[in-house]
Amino acid sequence: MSGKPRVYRALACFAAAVVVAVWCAASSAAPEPAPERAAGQESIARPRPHKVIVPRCGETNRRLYLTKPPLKGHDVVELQERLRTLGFFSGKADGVFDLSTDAAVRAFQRAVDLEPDGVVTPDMWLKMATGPARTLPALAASEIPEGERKIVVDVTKLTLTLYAGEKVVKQYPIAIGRWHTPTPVGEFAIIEKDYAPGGAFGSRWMGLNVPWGGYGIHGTNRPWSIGSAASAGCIRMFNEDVEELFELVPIKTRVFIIGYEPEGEITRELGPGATGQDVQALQYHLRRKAFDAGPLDGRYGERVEAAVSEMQKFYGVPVTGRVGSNELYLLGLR
Amino acid sequence: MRRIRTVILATSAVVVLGFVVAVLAVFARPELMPPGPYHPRALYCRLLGYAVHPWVRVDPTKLYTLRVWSTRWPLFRGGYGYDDLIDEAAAEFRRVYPNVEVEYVLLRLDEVGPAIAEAVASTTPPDICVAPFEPSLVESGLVVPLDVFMRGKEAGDAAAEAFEPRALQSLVLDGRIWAWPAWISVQSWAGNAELLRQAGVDVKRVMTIGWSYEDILTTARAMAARQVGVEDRYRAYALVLDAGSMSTLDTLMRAAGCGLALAPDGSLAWRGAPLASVLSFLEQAREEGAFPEPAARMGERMLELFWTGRAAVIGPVGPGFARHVRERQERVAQGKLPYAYKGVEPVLLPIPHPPDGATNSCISVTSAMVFKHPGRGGEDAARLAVEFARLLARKEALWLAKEMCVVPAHLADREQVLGMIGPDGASERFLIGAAASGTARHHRSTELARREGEVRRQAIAPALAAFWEGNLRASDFDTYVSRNLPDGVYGGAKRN
Repeated sequence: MSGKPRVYRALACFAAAVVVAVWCAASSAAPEPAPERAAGQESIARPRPHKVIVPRCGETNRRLYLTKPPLKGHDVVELQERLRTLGFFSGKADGVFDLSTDAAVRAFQRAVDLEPDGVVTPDMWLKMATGPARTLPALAASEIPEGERKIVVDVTKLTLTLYAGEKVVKQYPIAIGRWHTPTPVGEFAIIEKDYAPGGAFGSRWMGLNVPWGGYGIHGTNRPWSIGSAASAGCIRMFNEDVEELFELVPIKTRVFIIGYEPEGEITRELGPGATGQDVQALQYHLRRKAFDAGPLDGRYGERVEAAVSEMQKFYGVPVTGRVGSNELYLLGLR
Repeated sequence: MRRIRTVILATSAVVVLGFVVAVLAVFARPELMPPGPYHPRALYCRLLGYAVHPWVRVDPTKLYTLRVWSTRWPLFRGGYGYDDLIDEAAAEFRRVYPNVEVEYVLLRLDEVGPAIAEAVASTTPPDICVAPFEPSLVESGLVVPLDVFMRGKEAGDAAAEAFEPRALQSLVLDGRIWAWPAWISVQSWAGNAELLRQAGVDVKRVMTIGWSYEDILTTARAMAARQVGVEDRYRAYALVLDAGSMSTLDTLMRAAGCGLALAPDGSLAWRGAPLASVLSFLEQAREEGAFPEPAARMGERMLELFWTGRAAVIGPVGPGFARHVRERQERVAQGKLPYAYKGVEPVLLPIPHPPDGATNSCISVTSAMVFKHPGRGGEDAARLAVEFARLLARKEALWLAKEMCVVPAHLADREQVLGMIGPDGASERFLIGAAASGTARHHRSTELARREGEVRRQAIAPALAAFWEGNLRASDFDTYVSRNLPDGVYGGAKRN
């Protein structure tokens, strides 16, 4: 009689252990609950099928948390600055996810009834969005005049203006790149449009043909940043604004980004086929000397070659259509 | 009866005499009668074959539109550019002729010549074209001769005597003047006076009386002697020339008195002793180390070597170089080039001549040509075009003299060119002197001009490229060119 109760006890313990193990495994594989949407953000129907565009401008949707080595980046800076504004962080916004940042994140999570796990998710970004909200009224179709659409982005005034012909249709507030990740100035065009992956890119993406990077105009999950230099170079808009603009401008719409001189420095010989900020700087300097090099798009095409040849012929140097040391002296860069 | 006959005869004689006196009076003082087809001067002009002359009547009730083609000069100062100049000229013209509108098209520097040639060939030229004078356009019969507008005291400051004689002469064909001379551009070499003085060159003397190939070679030797042991990257060179185009050979041949590659009879003019002399000079200069290597591409570093004090002489240069000098001096004065080397004193120098020759200046004359249109426009519109062309040519010359150091063809405006390059005006005086003594070279016919282009492209340019690459000796140049002449051109080994 004493042997059988021991066996039953052992079997019961074993069964209990198995049940606990299975339950733990099942819990860790459970799907996450869907993030809550902030007020005003309607559910967006996605078109089917569509190509997922992966913007390359430096904005990311990654999760931020304490780890070794610590996570660093532009998004960490934004997090630290926002937590400081909300009163949860008092350290330096140095872009390093350290212990003090982790503590601030957990404190904020506790304050807004999120799991204080120290992990910054898209859900938490939305919870931090208590800043300025969009106040512009929506455009009615009858308000839009006839004419070719073009966009002018002024990085000094932080505005994006939509034109139809020569008439202003609407002006929107934007965020631009920080000083070390500036929004490129120049003359570009929209070459792709799609519904962005969400998160840091908001609800829409319009990619520009900037030769040296994947820049574009997109929405955001950090609406408090609108009106400041906060991005990794892209042009951020409120989601409602970018959704409205998205419907009004087709692919190939020209985008003029103005405000300061292109920053490229010409340190190599340039010729047909070259691209880059140095080519854009060349176009800018040619234009200042009244030689028509076409749009400031950073591409050495036929128009740039013709402008260079015209300049060479005008000043009487060998006409090659290429930029070397003679041309740098003519442009006043040496 | 006799008495009646006498009275009739006497009256007729008085009337005829009175008519003749009146005609002579009007002829002597044309302002006594309004312009029109029966004005004595008008009749006289028609007798001489001038359909367009100053006595063509302009209808004050008719609206005229003049079409002008010119160059889109990339020159702006305080927002003022060439289009503003034309607008000003048009406004000034409208004060006299309020019923005249002016439309203009500005073309790129290298587009104007081909565009006007094509327009003339299709008999759709504009009313006025301001461009380097091209005598081959005259054979079309569409160009209005202007000498009748330059005669007599009525011509005022448009009289032939008011213009630089050499400039005017280059616009003369068959005894007639075919355009208003506007301005003269001089092709020369440029030097760093500081480096040249160090090499023992009397710069002022060279600018006044010129220099020969031997003078250049002596300078090159003197510079080489001063640079023994100097590393290549700091070495200074006596000469940096544009070896990539025909302009160096072209200007050297013209300075040697040879002008165009084809003679008026279509034979090759660039051959024999003059060509050999020029090429031997270049070959010897290369052997003396006067050029930076690779010589074929030295022109691409022309400005860099000049402004860093490593080139004594560069060339050929034209008004664009003067403009560049001025722009650079302004930038340095404004502190925009704080690290610019200050040891460069730019001066303009004549192109050297063969040892037994003299300086021949290389000039080209830009002019305002007026075209008439068969079946449209009429002589009245053409007369207005002549007057506006004169006004525009002079205004453009004055403006470009200040911006680019061209020499205005109008003698009274020549002094405008002073002060562009150096404070002492020596280079500018050199330009004025060169403009007064140079000769522009043109072919008279379109066909000959076309063949000149073919000869240069097909025969001379490849030979020159091979010469600069070091693959062709000066002594073999003539033979090479002769073997590659296009059909119909004779000279040397190949005959028609």
